[in-house]
Order: sequence, then C-alpha cells, then structure tokens
Amino acid sequence: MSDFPSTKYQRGKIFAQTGLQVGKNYASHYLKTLTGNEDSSTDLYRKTAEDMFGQFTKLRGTALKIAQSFSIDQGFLPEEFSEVMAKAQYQVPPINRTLVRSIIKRELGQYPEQLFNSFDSEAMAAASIGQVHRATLKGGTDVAVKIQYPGVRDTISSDIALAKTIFKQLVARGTDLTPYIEEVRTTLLKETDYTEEGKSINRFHKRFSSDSVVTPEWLPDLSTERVLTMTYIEGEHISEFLLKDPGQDLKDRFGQLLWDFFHNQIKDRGEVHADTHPGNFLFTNDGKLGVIDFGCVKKFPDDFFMNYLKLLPTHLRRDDEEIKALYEELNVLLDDPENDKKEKEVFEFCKNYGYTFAMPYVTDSFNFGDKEYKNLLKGYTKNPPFTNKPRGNKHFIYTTRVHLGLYHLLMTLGSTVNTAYSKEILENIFKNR
Amino acid sequence: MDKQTELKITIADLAASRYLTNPRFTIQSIADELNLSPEEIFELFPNRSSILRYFYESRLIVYRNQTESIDNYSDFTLSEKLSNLFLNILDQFSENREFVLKTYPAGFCANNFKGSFDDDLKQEIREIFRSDSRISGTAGFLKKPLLYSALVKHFDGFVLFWKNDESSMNQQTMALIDKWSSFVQELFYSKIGDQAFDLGKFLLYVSPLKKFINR
Repeated sequence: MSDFPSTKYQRGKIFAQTGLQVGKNYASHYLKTLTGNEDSSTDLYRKTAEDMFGQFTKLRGTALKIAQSFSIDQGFLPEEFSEVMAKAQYQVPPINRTLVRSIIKRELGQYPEQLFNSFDSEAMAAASIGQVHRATLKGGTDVAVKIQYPGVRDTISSDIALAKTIFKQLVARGTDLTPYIEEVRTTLLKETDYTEEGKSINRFHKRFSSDSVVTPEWLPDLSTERVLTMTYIEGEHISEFLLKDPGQDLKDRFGQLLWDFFHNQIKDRGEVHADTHPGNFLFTNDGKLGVIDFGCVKKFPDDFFMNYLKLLPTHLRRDDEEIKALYEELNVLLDDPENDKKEKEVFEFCKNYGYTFAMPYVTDSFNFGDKEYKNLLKGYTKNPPFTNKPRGNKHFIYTTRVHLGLYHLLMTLGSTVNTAYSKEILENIFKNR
Repeated sequence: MDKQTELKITIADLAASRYLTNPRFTIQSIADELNLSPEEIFELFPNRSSILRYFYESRLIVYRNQTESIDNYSDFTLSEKLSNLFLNILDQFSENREFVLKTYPAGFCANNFKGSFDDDLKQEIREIFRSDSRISGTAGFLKKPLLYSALVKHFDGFVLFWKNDESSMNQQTMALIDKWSSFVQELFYSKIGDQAFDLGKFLLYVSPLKKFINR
C-alpha cells in the first residue's frame, strides 16, 4: 500500500492555504477520516489528480508538461495521478482561432489563407506547449502545422517554480527534487525550439523512414522557432485502430513494428524518441508505423545507458550481486540492502520488478496480450516501496517513459512480438562495448 | 476594397515611413515616389496631416477587409472576435512600429494623429457585442457606450504594453490579449447575473421574505 497520504493533514492544510482546489479534497478527506467515513485512497488520489490536472490545463503551458514528465516509476506520483496526467495530450483547451492566424502572420509573414491552399482553423491535436493544424500547400501537399502558444518559453521558469511547489507537497520531506526538475527544465527549453525539432525530424526521417516506418519531413521555409510545418502522415491512433476490432495478425504486425522501432533506435546508441505516448504513433492503411512529434528526443550519457540496458540480461541471469551493483551505480540503492531494512525492501522490489520487465527477452516470442503479465506489471508499478521518494539517476525519467510506454502500447494492442532480433541488437551493443 | 481606398492606404503607409526621417516631408516627395502628380494626391487628401491621420483611420478598413476573408467568422466567439480586432490592428502597427511608437499617444493624452480612429474602433467593438447572441441576459445590460469607450481605453493600454514588450515577436502582447479577451468573454457569457436575478426575483416576490419586505 502506498504511503502517499501519510502526512495528509499538513499537505491538505498547505493546499487549502494556497487556495488550490486540491486542498479542498484533502480537507474533505480528513473530515471524513475524523468522522469515520473515509473515502478510499484511490478515489481521493483520482479526485485530487483531476483537480490538479484541471489547474495545469488552465495554465496550458509548461507546468502541464512537467506533470506529464513524472511517472510513477520515478516514485513521484501514485498511479492515479499518472493516468490523469497522461490525458493531457488530448484535453488541453485549444488556443483561439484568431490567435492562430496572428501567430502565423507574425512568424511566417502572412495569414494562413494567404500562405496555404487550405488551412483548418480547428486544431487537430492540442497539447501542453502547442497545437497542430492540418493544411494543404499551394502545390497540393498535405501538411501539419504545429503552433506554439505565445510566451510559453518565457513562462518555463515560473511554471517550474509552481510545479516544484506542488510536487514538494507530494514527496517525502527532505527529498531533493532539483536534479529531476532541472532535467525536465532543460528538456522543456529544447522542446520550445521548433527549429531544433525540425532538425530532429530530418535526422529521424533519414534514420528510420523505410518500407515499414514513416516519419514526417520538415519544411523549413514554412517554419520558425515557434511554427513548425511538416508533411502530414495519414493514419489511425491506437484507440481508433482498436475500435475497428482488427484481427490478431494486424495487432501483431503493428506491435512488431513498434518493438523493432524501439530497438532500432538503441542499436547505435543514438538519439531516442523519448515521448512514447499513444498520440505519437500512427498505424497507416498500408501497414506502416507512423512516428510523429520529435520535440522530445534524447541522447543518454553512454555510461547511464549501458547500465540501464545491462539491467535486462543481468535480471535474467538472476545474479543478486551483479544486480545490486548495477542499482547502486544507477543511484536506486542508497545503501547496502543487508544493512538497511528499507533498502532491502527496495532491492527486493527492484529485483522482482526488473525480472518481470525483462521477461519479454527470455524467449524468442512474447505475448503482451497476456493478462497475467499485464496484472503482474501493474502490480509493481502500482505499489513500489518508494512512492513518494524519487530514486535513481535523473535520466530514468525518460528511459522509463520510453520503455514502459512501449510496454503499455503493446499491452493495449495485445500483440505477440518476436524478440529474437531485439536480443541480437542488445547482444551486439554489449559485444561492441 | 476599391482602388481609391487602396491608393489612399499606400499613400498613408508611405507618409508614415517618410515622417520618421523628415516630419515635414512634402506632398511632392510622396507623389514622386508613387509616380503620381501632387494634384492627384491633393484630390484624395487636403494636406499632409490628413494623410498621417488616415494612417490610423485606415487600419480599421484593412481589418474589415482581412476579416472578410476568414471562413466562418460569424461563428467566432466574443473572445475570438475581440482578439481578432485587436491583434489585427497590432499586426498592422507592427509593420509601421517606429511610426506608431512615435505618434500613438501614451495614456489618455489627446492626439491629433489618430483622427477618427477611436470612434471607428468603438463602433467596431459595439458591432462585435451587438452581433453576439451568446451574451447572457443580464450582461446584455452592460452593452452601453461607456463599455465600448472603456474597451477602447483597454486597447490603448495594450498598445502601451506592446510598445514596451521586449519578447520575441511581441509574444507577451499576444498572450495578454488572448487572456484578456478570454476573461471578457467569461464575464459576458457567464450566467451568474441571470441566476442572481432569478434568485433575487424569487426572494422578492415568492418566498416568505415577501411579508417582511411588505411591512
């Protein structure tokens, strides 16, 4: 059971004082506790998360992005919070149509109706720092135009400060959030530069565009730091795809493409698409995997990345000493588990969770549709022994987002994937080290 | 937009840029640059200051012309229409930023450069409010000349903010207008006044409080 609400009175008091709605929920929770009419913690978490999410979506900018960046595996938030935060990709209110016109005019010199053959003033997707509109070039090419909310870059510092204040209430007293917050801040600043994203789009297009994967192409003449125009990729998001009740063959095909895309990215230890969110993957009619949104791409430090990847075979070998050494290097274990009860608990958790996580690599084929596996994994992510105390190297924020995000996608699809090729990739990485 | 209006706007834009280098520019110099005769310009404008005034007055003509090209403009919300009006004018100001910085009055100062700009802007705001059917009943009572005059003053405030806005591409001004127009919309679309009126009416005429009121 999570120990999240252990200092709930203080937290509720602080939130109530700051006037956030979140405080009201805690206040009502305490009241019910006192009167013996207690809500279930899950309900409280969800209600609080929804209120917090509401505050963040109103802020629209980077505070929401920060919230999205913290997953349960970092020990920041209970699962209910993470689920609500994940909705952010789809539910941020779009900016008004007038502002969109004005941004395009200022950034590209002309209004959309002058620049494009057609321009859909309704956003097709709205997220934390920008929104995407569909358009057609004068020559007939379909494009996606991503527009950044005005002033987002300038609000990063204040949003970071706000988020830090809120998260401080959620984590154990004395926890130093600075390295994690700073990592997110640096990534966010990079994400607000659409020219950088345009370059990433081109790099990924060069690396991955093939018979099985389609990625957009950047159109620099119609792009600036705050407006990004790229070729449009027609396809279905996972939810739309599943609504059509596709056959297992098709689910396996797209699952395999996702699995292989992930492993091809790490093959040369180069940049990785670090936003493994369902909204960023498309399944095309001709059976290709569409990958979009290259705002958050990461190249992890070699030492960290090698240690992270080594976790997989090491867990499978079940060598406790080796596993312990790796977790110590990755700052997950803070002391020798033999000398500290809490560390022992964390170590046991990591060992079992890590083995479960590495299970797809045991045989040459793995069924992500296996409900038992899904429940097993969910059990670990739901009940880690360090719920309100983040641990581990700051880069875990993004490796977890990528790796666990991939597993979630595959479990949602219910795919069976062939893992022989991915194991070969991993073996080669270790061999060439 | 007819040809004559287009020509008048071209003359006004050129005069605005000339004014920066020589506030006492001649009509002849404008005529020369546009391959016109001074007589042709005098047919459109009686003197130099009327050309400069027309710079501000014509911003609303350009705004109307550009707004006509927006698909589904009539479906726009109050917030979208207000921000369209203000952002469009500021977009035009940005193209002649130096001239506006020099000639747009700060605060409440009277200024003979603006001509009928304030009145035209007020009319435009009035039209936006008049044509919006989503404004709540009680908020509708606020649709008075004083409101439109106040919003014209808000625009003056945005110009002042824009003058001092050092953010890239004046993003902060855009964000301010976006937030302001959303706020105004919330005020005018909110049914809180209607609900308060309903409650007040009930208390006054139906509830047991009536006998106390009648005493």
